[in-house]
Amino acid sequence: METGSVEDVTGLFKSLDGFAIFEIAVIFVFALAVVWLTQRILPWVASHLHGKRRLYVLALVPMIRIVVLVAALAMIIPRIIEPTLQNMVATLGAAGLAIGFALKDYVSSLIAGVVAIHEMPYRPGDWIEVDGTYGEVTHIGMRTVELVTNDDTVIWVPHLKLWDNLIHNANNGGPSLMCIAEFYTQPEADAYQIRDALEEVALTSPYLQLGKPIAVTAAEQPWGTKYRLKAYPIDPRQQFQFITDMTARGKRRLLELGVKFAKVESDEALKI
Amino acid sequence: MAEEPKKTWQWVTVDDYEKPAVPTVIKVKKWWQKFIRWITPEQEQEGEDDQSNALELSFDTAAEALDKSFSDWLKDDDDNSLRWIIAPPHSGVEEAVNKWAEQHDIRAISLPDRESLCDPDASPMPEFFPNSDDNTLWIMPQLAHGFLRQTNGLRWVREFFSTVLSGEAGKGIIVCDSWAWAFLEKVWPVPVSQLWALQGLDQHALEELGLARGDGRLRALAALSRGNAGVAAAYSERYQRSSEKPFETPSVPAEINDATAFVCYALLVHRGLNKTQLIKVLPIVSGSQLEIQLQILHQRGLIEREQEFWSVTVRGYPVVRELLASRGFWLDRF
Repeated sequence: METGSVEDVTGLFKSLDGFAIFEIAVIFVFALAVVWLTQRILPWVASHLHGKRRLYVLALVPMIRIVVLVAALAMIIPRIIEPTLQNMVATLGAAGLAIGFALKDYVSSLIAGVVAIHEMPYRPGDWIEVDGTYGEVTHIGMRTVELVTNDDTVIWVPHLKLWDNLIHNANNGGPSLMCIAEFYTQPEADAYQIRDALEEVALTSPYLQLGKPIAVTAAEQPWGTKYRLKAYPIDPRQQFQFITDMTARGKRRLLELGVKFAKVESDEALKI
Repeated sequence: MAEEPKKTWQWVTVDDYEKPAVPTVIKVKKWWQKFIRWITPEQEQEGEDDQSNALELSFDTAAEALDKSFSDWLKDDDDNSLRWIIAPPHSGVEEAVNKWAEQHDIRAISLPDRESLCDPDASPMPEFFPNSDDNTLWIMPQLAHGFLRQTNGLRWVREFFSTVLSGEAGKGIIVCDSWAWAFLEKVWPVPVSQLWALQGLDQHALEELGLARGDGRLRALAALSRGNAGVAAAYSERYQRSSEKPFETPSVPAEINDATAFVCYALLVHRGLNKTQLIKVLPIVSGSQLEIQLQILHQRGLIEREQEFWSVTVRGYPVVRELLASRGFWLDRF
């Protein structure tokens, strides 16, 4: 009986001769080489492009990797296992058991990685916020997504977060990313005059994407009025410089108009 | 379907404007050249343009063609409408229209002083001619000189649009650079009718002008210049007609940043600026960085200085346009 079970298990696998091992090695090395090359060449090409073209090229990296790896697996597995229904059920059952006990989170991240490539909640070049961390997606790996923050800190977020976290995507695969510059004035200031002035500030910024709308909103607060100037930069990577430019010139313009800024005693008040 | 050959100097409304087609082989060659530039180490480029062979164009025929296009409107005293003429950089449109205006003794509206345009205490207003009820024709020689892209720098041009579009200023012709127009359409987004331009020159029109010979060469010149007569003339090789070597365009510096593109864009939109005006228009770029960018672009032959004004060179224009297009800037229609 015991001997029979061992024979059953060994019967799953083909006998691997030297040529079969060579074939598997070639497929494996070739697949890795293609993935390695695409992960280096495509980001390099993308670094010379801007706007939509850059984002499209970056989005190809995880796509090509998953296609190559699936193709490699499809070529390797029949060389190791006799691809009958019985064998496949037995192999998948054993693999499922191992995954369930030991590698649950790891495999969950891998599966989430595949889902991320299909559903595209983030793509390379997107600006996303996960768990309070905001940064640009620079690489989508098998298990993690790599973000670079504005402070040039690299953060690896497991794809696992995709299942139960809110993912905030600021540009969603496109070159349009709304930026908001905020101004706080005393309540007596003329809101329409401020709106006109701030719209002019955005319109005359060299970072402005002219094809997109500009908007100014005002909201009354206990300490004064909060204005939000909303506009889009030409490239999402310019967002911080764009906000700086709008803030600096907006303040100068409001001072020219004699607008008095509100003084807020604590940070808590700003959150209102 | 065979394309209908275009006439050399033909005034058309902007909706009828057609750019010459770019053959696939030229597109492929362009990509290949770009790729070679990426992979090969940067080579020093001669800053000076060799324009010794460039053909000098005469715009007399364009002025005559304009006379025919506008003769009915000109004669009709009851027609108080406006004519807008859009001039791509170096296209010769401005020269042709000004020549035509001189021939007809059309009075030009004075342009505002750019130095005082952004002064918050000053309120520059367009000065139209008094007694415009008598239907005296006027011309705005270059609307691009009527604004600075800065917080206070759009007041004059807004007032201008308000006055002329309400009909208060009477019958007039407004010449505006194509890049400035693309920006001003966002400043004053009221669609205007009677928007005119010189038709883009295809290979047949270029041959008529004697700018090059040989079908392939002419097509390449038409594609490079995008139908712009001035650019085509600058790249023409009257004395090297059999030459098959590619056109030598100035190259973009390897290390460019936002500031490089902003300087190029500002110079195009304002149709040339001096350094003081550039500082006003680009306060986000520091003075030293601005100086560095001007020098780099100048060394590459992409911009030039005439007296104190910096502008994009005629040979550098196709390169600068492509640079701005690749970086997602708002482009002109031409």
